[in-house]
Amino acid sequence: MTKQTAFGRGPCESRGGCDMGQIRRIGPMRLLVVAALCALPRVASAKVVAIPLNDYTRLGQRFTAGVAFDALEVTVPSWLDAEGGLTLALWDSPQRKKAFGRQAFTNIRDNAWVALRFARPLPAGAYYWEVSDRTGKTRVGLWADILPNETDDCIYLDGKPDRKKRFRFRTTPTAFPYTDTQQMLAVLKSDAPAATRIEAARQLAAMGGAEAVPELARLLTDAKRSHLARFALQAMPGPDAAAALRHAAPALKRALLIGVINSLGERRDAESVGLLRGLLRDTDPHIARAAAEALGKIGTLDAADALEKAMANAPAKVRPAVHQGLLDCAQRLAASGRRSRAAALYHALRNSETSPAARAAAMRGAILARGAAGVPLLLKQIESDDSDRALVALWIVARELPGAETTRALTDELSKLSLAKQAMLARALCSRGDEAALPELLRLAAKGQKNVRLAGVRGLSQMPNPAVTAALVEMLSDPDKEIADAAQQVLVQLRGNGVDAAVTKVLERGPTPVRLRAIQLLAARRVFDARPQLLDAARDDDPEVRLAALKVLRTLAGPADVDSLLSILLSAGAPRETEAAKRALLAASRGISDTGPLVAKLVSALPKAQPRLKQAILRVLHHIGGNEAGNAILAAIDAPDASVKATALRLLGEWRSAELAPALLRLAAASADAHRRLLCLRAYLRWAGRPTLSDEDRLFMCRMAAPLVGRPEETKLLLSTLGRLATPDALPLATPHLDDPATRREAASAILAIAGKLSGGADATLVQALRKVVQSGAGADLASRAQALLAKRQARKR
Amino acid sequence: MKHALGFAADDSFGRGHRTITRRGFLQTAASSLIAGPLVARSARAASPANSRLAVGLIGIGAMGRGHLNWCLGQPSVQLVGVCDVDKVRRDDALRRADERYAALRKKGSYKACVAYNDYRDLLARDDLDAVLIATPDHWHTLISVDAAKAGKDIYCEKPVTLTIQEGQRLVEVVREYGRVFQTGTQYRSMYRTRRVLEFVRGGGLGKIKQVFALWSKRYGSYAPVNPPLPAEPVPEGLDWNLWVGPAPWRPYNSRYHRDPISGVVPWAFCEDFGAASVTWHFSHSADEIQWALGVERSGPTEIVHPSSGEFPTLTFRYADGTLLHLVDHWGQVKSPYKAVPAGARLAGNFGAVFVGERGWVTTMYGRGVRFEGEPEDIFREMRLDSRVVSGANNHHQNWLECIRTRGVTSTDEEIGHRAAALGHLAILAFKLRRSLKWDPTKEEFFNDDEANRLRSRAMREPWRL
Repeated sequence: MTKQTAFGRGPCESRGGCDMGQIRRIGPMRLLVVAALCALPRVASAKVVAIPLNDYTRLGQRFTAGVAFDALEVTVPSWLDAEGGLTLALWDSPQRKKAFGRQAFTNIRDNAWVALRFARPLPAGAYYWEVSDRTGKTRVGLWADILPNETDDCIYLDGKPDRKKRFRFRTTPTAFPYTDTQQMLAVLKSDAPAATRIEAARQLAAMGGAEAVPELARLLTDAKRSHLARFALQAMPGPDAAAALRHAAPALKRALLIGVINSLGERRDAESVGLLRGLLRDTDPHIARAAAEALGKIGTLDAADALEKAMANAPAKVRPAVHQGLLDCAQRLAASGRRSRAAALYHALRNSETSPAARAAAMRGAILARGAAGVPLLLKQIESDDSDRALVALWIVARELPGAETTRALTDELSKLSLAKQAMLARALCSRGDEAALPELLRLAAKGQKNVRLAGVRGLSQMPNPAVTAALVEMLSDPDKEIADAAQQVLVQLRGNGVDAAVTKVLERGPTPVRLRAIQLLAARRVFDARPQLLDAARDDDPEVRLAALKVLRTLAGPADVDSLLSILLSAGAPRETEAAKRALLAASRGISDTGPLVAKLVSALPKAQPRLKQAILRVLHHIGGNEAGNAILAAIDAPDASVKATALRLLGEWRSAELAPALLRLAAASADAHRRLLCLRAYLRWAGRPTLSDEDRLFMCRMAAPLVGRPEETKLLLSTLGRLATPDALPLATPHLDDPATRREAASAILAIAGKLSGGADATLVQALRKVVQSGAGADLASRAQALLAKRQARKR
Repeated sequence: MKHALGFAADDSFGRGHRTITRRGFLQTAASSLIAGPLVARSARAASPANSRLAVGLIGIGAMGRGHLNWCLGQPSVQLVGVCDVDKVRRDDALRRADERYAALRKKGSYKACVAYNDYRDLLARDDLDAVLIATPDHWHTLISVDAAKAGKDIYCEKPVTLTIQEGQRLVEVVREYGRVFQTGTQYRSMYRTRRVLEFVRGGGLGKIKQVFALWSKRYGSYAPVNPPLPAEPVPEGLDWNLWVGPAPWRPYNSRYHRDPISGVVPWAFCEDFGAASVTWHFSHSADEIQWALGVERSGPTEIVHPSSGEFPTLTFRYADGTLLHLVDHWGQVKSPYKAVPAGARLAGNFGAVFVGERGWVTTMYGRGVRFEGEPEDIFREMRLDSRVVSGANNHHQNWLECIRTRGVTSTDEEIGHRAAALGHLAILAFKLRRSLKWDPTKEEFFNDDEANRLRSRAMREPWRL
């Protein structure tokens, strides 16, 4: 029997398929967390058991299906990886009064899914499935999840419920459970729950036959079912459904009538124009508004006539809907080639008292209906003081009226506009992205009023082109810093193959400020191919360029640049350059597979290096690690320069592997300098405290250090390390320090920390140590903790 | 009007009509472009408050609260209205807005925002420039369309639609009114993810052969369901009728409305209110995938159902032959598809696995998730500063920038519609249990009346698009 893998089942299946009980029980919390965060790896439930059918006559599961289904599947494990058999049956309930299906299965492989399929979908509701009649020589059974809470939808073992388990199974839901139109209608008309009736309407909408139309038409007057009837009628093809909607209208009142009007509009039912024309004059403004918008969607010439006539005398409450209808109507007429009629409608709207948004929309329509001839009107709107119209006009420039001619017509006018409008149109032209505008946009960005230039420069980010690249690179040296900054900002993101090369070229020659901008750009664009030029720049005569290049190389340099960077580091003069070169070298050395040659070069450079460089080299060696590097750092402890010595000591303390620990201990033992001795001990004991080592190893290291500890600060270090151990053998090392007032508290703390980790054993040593803590005078708080631990031990003994 | 409350005449962003206007905002925006006569014509433009965009937030549930935080943290945005049919939520949002603005102004009683039950009252404000829509899905298109008709710019949570026809109407009206629209699929705007997507789009992996995205199965169904849930008392302060709005009416049940946990929406399992996987995560994947493939304004030509036997899981086929396989879990990418090496980790969601002629790469997001792919060179070519997937993005900022410049947002109305539609196509194929052929230009199914009839749904009266 192979336990199911995490991927062997869906999360829903593992909880029992589409189960109404679960829908309630799982709750939105668990369910939708999984839904939204299904990134998380699925972990097979640890609380799952296999229940063999061999131990029972029948195994069953009660469940509630949330939606209709037409198949039931159960996964069957076998114990010997052999193949067995069983019979799967679906019933109405555990009492098994009505059977829905039954099938015997043989030769079932381990964990195979056996499926019971039904000729007709079964509706949502409560069910019970059961396996029985085992066959074959092997043990077969079912997987059961153990549930945190009791449930009625549970397993049944020989007919007895076990309310905290659920067998693994799944159902195949079917979105469309009804097999004929009459069934759908029956459910729609029934008193079934709202959700069930909605599903019937949904299936009628998808596949209901024309025979449903009369009955659906009758339901249009039923307040509870009218929407669902429209749900079907609106989607059903053919003239009958539309006719049913039209014919129902006269008998309907307000909301239901509005619904029918809306559906006629959505159906684009040209035959309902007459009906809607009449409804446009309805005294109820809600109905008249619905009629107006429906006419707009129908969008025929007749509909347009009806709306145009209503424009003049529609009540104020209806007028906005008439305008909306006209807009939609005009749009449809224009799309069907009736541009002049559309233009007339737009013209009428532009001159009507309507909302600013509708007027701007009409203006847009009028411009588009004219095609290329609409450009003068477009320009007029851009120049307009009416911000709604101006903004929609700019929107059009950015997206519509395609073609170079339109673009050129717009750019020709650019310089004639006010400066503010020039800036806005320039941005819109950039969004348009037509290169026909490029010469003018480049001219605008290159010279003139500063803020217009800025608008042009920023917009150029949307027009990747070699000419744009060249212009922006040129602007890096603009005397106006804001322009140069803007150009640099755009170049960071500018797409195009030639951008990197153009920026790299700037680095190779030009005034220092521009070269510095180029360096920043190469970093921001992550131009790895520019490393040779950056390495050259790191050797430049100009210290600013050198430093900037080194800083950038920290992110761009790779293993291939290590030799160059080492030579730069060794020849670096200024402290900041040394530091930057060191950082770049550190970063570049990360990907090196064989560090030997680099370490050798670094070590050989140490003797002649000045103290500052020496420290930098030591840091690189520390970063690289390994015996040779470690030995070089150890040797540096005896360097004449104090700063080098201190650096070496600190680096030893931060060494990433334990190989230098004995050397550190030797150094501590040999050192007469208290500070140095403390540093060595600290570094050594830091290693002794690491949880990656076993307690035994750590205790051994503490024992080795104990004889060297003399001064209180050294003792405290040792005690701190001892406190992290979980062995009674550490207690004898800590207990003597209770006698020294300078270390008494630390010793008591260490003993308490060790005691806290011990579960049993070594009672005598521990009790003795704790009693000593109580008597030591280390403090009332520590004494009380020690007493509590003693009392606990005493109680445990009893 | 609910918002015409008293405010001081000199109150530059108080609760009233004559406070902040798009004109003011844009004039100030223009002033960042140019200090010229347009600015000088408006005295109000001199006020710092007028440099702010007047925004309304509609829907303050799991997603809306994130937008609320964003609005209150944006110096260039003034939240003038919050709207929710749940009084508890809108009052809480109003309190937070008032506290924030009072703190900024150092005036303990300062009021800058108005709460609304009905979004139409908020849209009726003349001084409102733009809205953020974070309602349940069944409201997305309708409110977006009404906002466009009212002349407001729009940021709408994904999926922007629940049907194909809603998407067509959304595109039509947003364009009709020349509005700036941004779809809330911000994963494509995450800086590092965008680099990877641009790399794929630019041919960095060669021709893309296969793409994989997750699709969740819930209640045993790949499609959203509509289980009959028992009626429960409507909580006090909740306008349940308005909550249901254009969807088929049903009694209240807390499963629709109560937030399961922070950041997770409750109603998406239900077909009338949400789109299950499309809502939970697939809209993001679809947006990324279609953009990377260069078909963000189009769609597949075929939806191949597993019952056809051609592929083990539901698969989209695009005109150029690219296959997009929907998988239950990432393990399926390795087996049965064998599209990536067995050692690939493949973690996270909201993105995809792209497999091209040259190699493969992932764009999934999740805690601790890194971009994966081969060959290793591709990451150097992408120039990523790190392989850790980060959520930092400029999606909202892109919307603001485009409102200022009237530019085209990164995920405009059509891109949002097409990403949502991809999910709806999958749902229809799952529901009909068969393969479908799709004309992405006409947005019609070939020779499949049933599928075509499911492209739209009648709204409950009196609602209409």
